[in-house]
Amino acid sequence: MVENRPFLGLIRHTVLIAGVLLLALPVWLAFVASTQEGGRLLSGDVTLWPSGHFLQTYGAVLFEGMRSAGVPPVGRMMLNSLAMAVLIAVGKIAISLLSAFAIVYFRFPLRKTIFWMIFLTLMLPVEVRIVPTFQVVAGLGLLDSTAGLVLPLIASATATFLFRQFFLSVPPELAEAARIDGAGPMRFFADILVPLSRTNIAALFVILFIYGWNQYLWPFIATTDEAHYTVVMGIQRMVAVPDSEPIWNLVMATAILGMLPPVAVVVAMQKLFVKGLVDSEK
Amino acid sequence: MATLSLQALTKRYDNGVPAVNAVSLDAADGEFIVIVGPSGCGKSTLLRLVAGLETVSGGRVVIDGAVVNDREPGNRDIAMVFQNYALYPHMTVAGNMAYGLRNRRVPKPEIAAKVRRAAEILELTELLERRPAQLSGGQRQRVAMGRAIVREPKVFLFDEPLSNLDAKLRVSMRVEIKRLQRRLRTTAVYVTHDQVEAMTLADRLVVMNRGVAEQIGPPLALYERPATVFVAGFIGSPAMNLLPAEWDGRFARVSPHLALALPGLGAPPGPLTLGIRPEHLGLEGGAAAAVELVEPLGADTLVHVRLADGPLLVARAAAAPAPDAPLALEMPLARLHLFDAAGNRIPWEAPSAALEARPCRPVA
Amino acid sequence: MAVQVVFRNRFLPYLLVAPQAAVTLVFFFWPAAQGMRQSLLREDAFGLSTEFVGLDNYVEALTDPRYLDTFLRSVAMSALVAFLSMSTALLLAAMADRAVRGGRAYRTLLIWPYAVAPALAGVLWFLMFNPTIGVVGVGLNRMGIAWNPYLDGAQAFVLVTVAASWKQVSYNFVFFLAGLQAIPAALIEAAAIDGASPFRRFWTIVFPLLAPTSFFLLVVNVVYAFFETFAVIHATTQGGPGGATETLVYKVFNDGFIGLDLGGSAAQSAVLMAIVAALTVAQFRLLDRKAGA
Repeated sequence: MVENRPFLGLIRHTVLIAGVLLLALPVWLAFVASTQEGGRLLSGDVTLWPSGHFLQTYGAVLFEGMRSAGVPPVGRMMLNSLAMAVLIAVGKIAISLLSAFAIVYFRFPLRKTIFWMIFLTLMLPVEVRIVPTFQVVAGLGLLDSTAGLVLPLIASATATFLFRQFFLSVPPELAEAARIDGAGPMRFFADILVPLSRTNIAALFVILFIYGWNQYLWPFIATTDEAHYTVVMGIQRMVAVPDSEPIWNLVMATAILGMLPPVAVVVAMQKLFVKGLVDSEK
Repeated sequence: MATLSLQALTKRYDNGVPAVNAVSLDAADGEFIVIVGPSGCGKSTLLRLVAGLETVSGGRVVIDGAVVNDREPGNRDIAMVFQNYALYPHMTVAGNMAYGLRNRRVPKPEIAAKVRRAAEILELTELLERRPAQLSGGQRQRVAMGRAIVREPKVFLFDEPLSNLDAKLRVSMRVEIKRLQRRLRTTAVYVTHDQVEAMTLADRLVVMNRGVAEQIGPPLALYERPATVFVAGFIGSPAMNLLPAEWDGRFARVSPHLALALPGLGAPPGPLTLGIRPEHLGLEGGAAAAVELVEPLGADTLVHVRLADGPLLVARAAAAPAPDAPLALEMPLARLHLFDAAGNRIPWEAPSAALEARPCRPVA
Repeated sequence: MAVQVVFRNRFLPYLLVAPQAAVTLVFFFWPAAQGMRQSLLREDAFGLSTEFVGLDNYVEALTDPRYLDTFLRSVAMSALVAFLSMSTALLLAAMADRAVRGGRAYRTLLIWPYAVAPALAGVLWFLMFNPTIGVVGVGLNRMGIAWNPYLDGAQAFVLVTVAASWKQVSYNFVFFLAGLQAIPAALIEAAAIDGASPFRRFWTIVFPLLAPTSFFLLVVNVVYAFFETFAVIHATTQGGPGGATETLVYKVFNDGFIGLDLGGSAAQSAVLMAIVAALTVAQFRLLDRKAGA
């Protein structure tokens, strides 16, 4: 620090604390609401402190859900979310590692074409191609299936470019040394390249796990069977109840539960998270 | 233990320029071959052709009697030490050395024994569990050597292995490599741009220039009888003095004031190049010259002298001449190297009669 | 040595790219092509017949006054989200840069909202702004401001914009902080020796050096506001009241899935694709410049 003015420090801390509180406020209020009794919430009593119904509410949503709105137990939905997030993250990383490996370490006739094909997927976010994608997935009979939920989200230009960039920074002599040591391409990939990429893989996994967990539109469209609901999309069914006020304490408990895993991942793996975020934009 | 034979080996890149042009070489079993040349001369490419890291465009690589042109590097029974060592950063020293053996499905106990033995030879035993990042430059160099020797290959390939080390370490590692190769008696091909390294290590030296092997032979033979102007200028430090001259059938004229009589030389008149090593230039008698610079090295002294309105030469002398004292240069004809306009050596033995005469005399 | 190592194998590379290529072709290019085709067709109300109508769907979509409204609304929302979240993030990053006591704790407490799904972020703010039970909603009403985003379109728009911005602050914070930390301390020290006050130093030295980061974030935020606000809107206002929170992406979804106007929806998708393509190109241009600097 250039200088040490106590006044400046005071401003810094004031602004930062205000920022922290502002960001935390909605979640705090959601938590407060989730611990209230359902009836009391609707009476219009606004409170800033939690009350004692924590266990009842969370027990109810976790294990029973909201049958009136056709919402399965949140525990179930969270497992679905977990499966989707992990499969999307692992799938994206796996196919991106393989294609980046092919693009960097081999020369083959369609190399450029494939590179551009992958690049173009950047211009086709799921929101843009949502209707025809639904038709394609429906046509393949993949609605209401894990494959249908995961596959359309699994191609990744970002991850491919990230690994390509990293592979290009690996000294070419390592591959030569491996060849002289009798390693074929796949052995080099498995024994040397993947272990060297593990920090990148971990950082990317953090980002992609959050990406997968937070998917909303596609699971909303690709699942009609509530057994496949994920928690982030399932909450919509609880909020958009026709002709009546949502049962807010249950909605908020679901929201809190639904954000807990990805938030925990970010807090626990802050360094990897920041690395993944910054790297994947290059 | 094996022989290595290169037969008219050629590498042409897509642009058609040959990086290696018809190089032929037969290395005996256990021989230490050093390939030396300036950067871009094709020496590394030649080594990579032997390793199998580049595809051969023409000619053959024969290891132990078998043509290996189409074999993967891993199947050629060679080991290579890279300039930047190319150690696997995520593996321990032991893991690095074992990797090639593991790929060849050598039984585990045998791998362990071989790694232990190699580590002992290279004094790496204490470091076996460390990773490359925790090692000094010299230690990494040793690990790279260890990785090569555990495999007990037929041929060692070295690609400028010492150029990333500081000067002092370079000298001691050079000695160590030589000792190791003597002890293991494995055929070796060693690429370097450093001619001191080349001279000290080689059983036989290959001097390369523009993709061509200019001369192949024992270091001293190359030093004493360079086959081309290029070899003459490249081998030796300080470099051989090379003087362009005009040969008229009797005299070789170096400058308006200096011409040398070269009795018995049958070459047709035309331009040629005279060469003489600094240690063969005498500083008494002969052509008039002026001292331009004196570089005392301790054991001897380098004297840069200019012939009267002629070229600059370097002489190696026992002591510095007195400043401003008039000086005369002596060029013993027996020590003279002659090269034709194309740069090739002109065979010439100075007649013994000429040796007795004052060899170097200004001619008006 | 500039030789790139290449393994020689005729089939392996194809095998390696096959999964990525398959997923890309089946779930990206095929739907995109289908969409293009549909944008040129019109189905009758019962889905019994389709006819080729050329660019009619495009003309219809682009000349629909509601489409123009939606477009302007999306642009306004993007601009607001980008401005709100970026300015807040820059302020916080400037304060958290360098050695503040408890810096690590602050950073953790400022980045976690990134992990909150946009849909959930929307729901949180939906509750807060609820006119009868939300803290902010009730508070506003008690202060005499008639607040009800269920009925008032402008208020619903504010709700969605604020919720989307809230979630995006963390992302921008991470990048601004990284940008700030990349500025050499010696530069700031030199400015201090030249007698610049902290405030002046920020505006004359730090802020200009952050320009590449800011441009990059601007593009990312606009893309985010265009697409990911869909979840915020869908989980809360559902585009209402009276279309006041309908964005371009929401309209594509609504016309396609609810209105079943496949041709019109596909034509709008194609327009969106062009917008994304332009933004992607802009982003890569910026990154090139950043790499070159």
